[in-house]
Amino acid sequence: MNRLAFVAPLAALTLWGCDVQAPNTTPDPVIVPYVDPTVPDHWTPTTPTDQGPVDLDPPQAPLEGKVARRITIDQLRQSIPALFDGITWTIGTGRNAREGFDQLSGSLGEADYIQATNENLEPTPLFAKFMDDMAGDVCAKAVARDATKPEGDRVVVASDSDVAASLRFLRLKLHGIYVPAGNTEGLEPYLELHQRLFESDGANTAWIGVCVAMLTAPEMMTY
Amino acid sequence: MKMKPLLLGVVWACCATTPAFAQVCEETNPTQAALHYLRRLSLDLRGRLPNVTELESVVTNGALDPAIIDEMLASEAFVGQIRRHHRDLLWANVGNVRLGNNNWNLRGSRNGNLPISVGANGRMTAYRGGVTSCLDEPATFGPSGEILTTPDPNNSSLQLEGYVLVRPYWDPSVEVKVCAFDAQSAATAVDARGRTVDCSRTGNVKGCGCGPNLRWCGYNNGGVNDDITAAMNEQLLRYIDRIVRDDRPYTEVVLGKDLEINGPLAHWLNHQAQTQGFQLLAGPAQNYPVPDLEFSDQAWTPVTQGTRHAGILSLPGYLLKFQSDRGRANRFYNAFLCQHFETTESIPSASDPCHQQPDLTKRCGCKGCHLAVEPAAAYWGRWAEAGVLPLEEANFPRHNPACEGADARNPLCRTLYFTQADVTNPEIEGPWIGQLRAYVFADAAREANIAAGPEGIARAAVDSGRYATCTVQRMWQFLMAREPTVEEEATVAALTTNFTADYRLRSLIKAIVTRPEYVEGGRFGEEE
Repeated sequence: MNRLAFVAPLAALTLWGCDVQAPNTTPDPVIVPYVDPTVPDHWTPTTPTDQGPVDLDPPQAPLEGKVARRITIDQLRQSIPALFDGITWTIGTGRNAREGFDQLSGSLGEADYIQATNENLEPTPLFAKFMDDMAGDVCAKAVARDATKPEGDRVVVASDSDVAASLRFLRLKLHGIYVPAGNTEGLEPYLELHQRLFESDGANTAWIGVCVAMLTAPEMMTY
Repeated sequence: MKMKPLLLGVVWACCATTPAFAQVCEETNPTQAALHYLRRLSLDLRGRLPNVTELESVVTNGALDPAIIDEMLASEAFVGQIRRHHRDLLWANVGNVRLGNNNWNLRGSRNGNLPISVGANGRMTAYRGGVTSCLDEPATFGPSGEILTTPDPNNSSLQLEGYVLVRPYWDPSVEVKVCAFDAQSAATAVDARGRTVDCSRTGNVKGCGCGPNLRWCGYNNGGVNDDITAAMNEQLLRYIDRIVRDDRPYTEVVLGKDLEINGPLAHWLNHQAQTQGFQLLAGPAQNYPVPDLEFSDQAWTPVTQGTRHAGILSLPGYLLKFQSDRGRANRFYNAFLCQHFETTESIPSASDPCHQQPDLTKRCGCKGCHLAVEPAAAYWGRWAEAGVLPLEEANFPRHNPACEGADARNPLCRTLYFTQADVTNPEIEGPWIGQLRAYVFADAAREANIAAGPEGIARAAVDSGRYATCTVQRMWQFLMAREPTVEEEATVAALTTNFTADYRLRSLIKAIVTRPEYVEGGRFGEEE
C-alpha cells in the first residue's frame, strides 16, 4: 500500500484532465516592479483628472450557464454508500468506527450554523487530503468486497478479464462519462496506471489505485 | 510527499472553479451532454450521484427521459435537498442555546453509579449546608416523612442525606439514584422566612426539589437538553418539509398555522420553560394548546398555531436562533427578501453630540439602517426577546405602572419593560418609562406592526411581490451556483410571474432546471 499511497494521488494529479491539455512546462513568472504612475506618495492629496477612456457601447457580457462547483460533503455522504453498495468512509475500527464525513465534518468545511454558517466549497489542500483518505478507505473495502461477489454484483471491478470494460464502468458511474465499447478515449491514463500497479503489486492494488484516482478526480468532485 | 495534497488541491482548484473547466470537459455529443445533465439534476435535486441504471438508460436512449425530473422532484430525497437549502438560509441550529440555569440542571456522576443531583451552589447549600452532594446509600426518613441527614465525617457543618430511586421523565423505564433532597416532589414548601413558595419556580428552598419524576429539572449528562434543542431544530425544518412534500404554496413557510410538536418540546414548554427562571422567557402559554406529551414521546403531534404566530417566524428554532427583535427582522430580510441592511450614511466624530440621541431612528450613523430596522423589528414586539413567549396584552400590558418606579428591579420589569435604569436621556426617554420595550419611541405605524405580529411582515412581503422575487433568486442561485446576472432580469421576472400564480416551489424548480442555462451547463452560450 505504500507504493499505492504515492502512485494513486499522483495518478489523480495526472489523470484529472478529462481532455484538458495542461501545459508541459511552467514558465518562470515574470516579476514586474509596481510603479504607480500618478501618485508619488500616499500622503500627498491628489485629484485625478484623467479618468481614462470611456466606452459608450461596452461589449455584451458572455452568456453564462450553470457554473461548475465542487460537490458538497453531504452529497458525498449520500453518494458514496449509494455507489459502493453501502460501503462508506469510516475512521477507526471495530466499535470505535465512525463515519468519516460526520467525524471530520467541521474540518471538511461543513457549516454547523454555530461556528460556521456557510459551507466552504473551496477545493482546499485539507479537503484534497481528506478525500485522498476517503478514497483509499472506500476503494480498499470495495475491491475486497468485489473479490467475494460475482461480476454482475460488483461495484469496482466489473470484469476480471476485461480491464477496459471495468474502466468504462467506473468512468460512467463516477464521472458520468460514457466511453463506448472498443474505444479507449480518456481511459489511456487509467489503463497505464492499472498496468503499472498490476505489474508491481498485483490486481487488487491496481484496482484500488484506479478507484482512488477516479474517486479523487475533478470529474468526480465537480458538477 | 508532503506536497502531494497541496499540489493536487492547487491543480484541481484551477480546473474546478473556472467555467472553462466545464466547457472543456463536457463533450458536445448529445449522449454525453445528457449524462452530465442527469448528473447535475441528481446532485441538485436528490443530493447524490445518479446510479448506474439511470446512467445506462441515458446511454441506451441517447437522451434523458424527461419523466425522471418529475420522479426526482417527487422523491423524499428532494425534500431533503430543500431542507438543506433552508438550513443554510435560516442557520437552523440552536444547539448552543442554554435552556436553564444551574439551579435546575441535574448532574450525573462520572462513573454513572453515584446518585445524581443538582450541582448549583445555591441548592446544595440550602440542602446540605455547603457545596457537596449526598451519600451513596439509601435515604432514611423521619416519622413525618422528613429526610434524615448525617454529619459529614470530614466537615461537621455539612449534613448529608442518602438517595432515593426515581423513574425520571426522560426514561420512565429505568430507576436512577437521585439525592433525596433533589428528588423531592412537593408542589409548595415554606422558605426560611416562613413564606409558602411554589417549588416549580424556586431553586434554593430546602423543601423543594425537582418535582415529580424530576420533571422541572434538566439533565445535561443524559442528553435531555440536547433532545430539546434538537427538537426545536427539527420542528423548524419539518415545518418546511411538509410544505414542500405536499406541494403547498411556499408562502405557508411564513404564513402557515400548522406546527408539529413532540414530547421533548411539549415537556419543556409545560414543565421547564417557565420553571427555570429568566434564563429564557418561555412558558406553556403559546397561543396554541401545548399537548400534554411525555418527554419520551418522539412522535410529532399536529397543532394549530393561534394569534401572533406566522409559519416558522414564531417557532422556537427561529426565535432562539435570532433572539432579538432586530435580529429576527434582519434574518427575515436576508432570507426572504434578499436584502441586507447597510448604511451609506457617514458617521460623525465620536465627540459629536448627535451620538447621545437614544432613538436609533434619529441617531447619526445609526438611522441609515434603523429607520427600516425598527419598524421591521416591531413585528416581533410582542414576542419576548431571548425567549419563546407571546406577550399578550392581558398579561403584559403596553404600560405597566409597576415598572415605573425607581425600585422596579424585578426580573419581569428589567427584561420586558423600559425602566428608569435604562434611561440615558431623561428629557427624551422619560415619557417611555414603564412601557413594554417594543413601544419605546414607537410611532403609530410601528404600533400597528407590533399589533400585527410576524404575520404582518410576512403578509407585506408576499403582497409586495418581493417574497416571490427573492424565492426565485434564491432557487436560481441554489441551482445555477451563481446569482442571476443583469441580463437575466427578464428571465427572473418571467419565472417570478409564473411562481406567483400558485407559489409551488416544485414547479419553480422544474422551470429552472429545464432552462437551457441549466441543461447545457458550461456549454451554454457556446456556438454550435
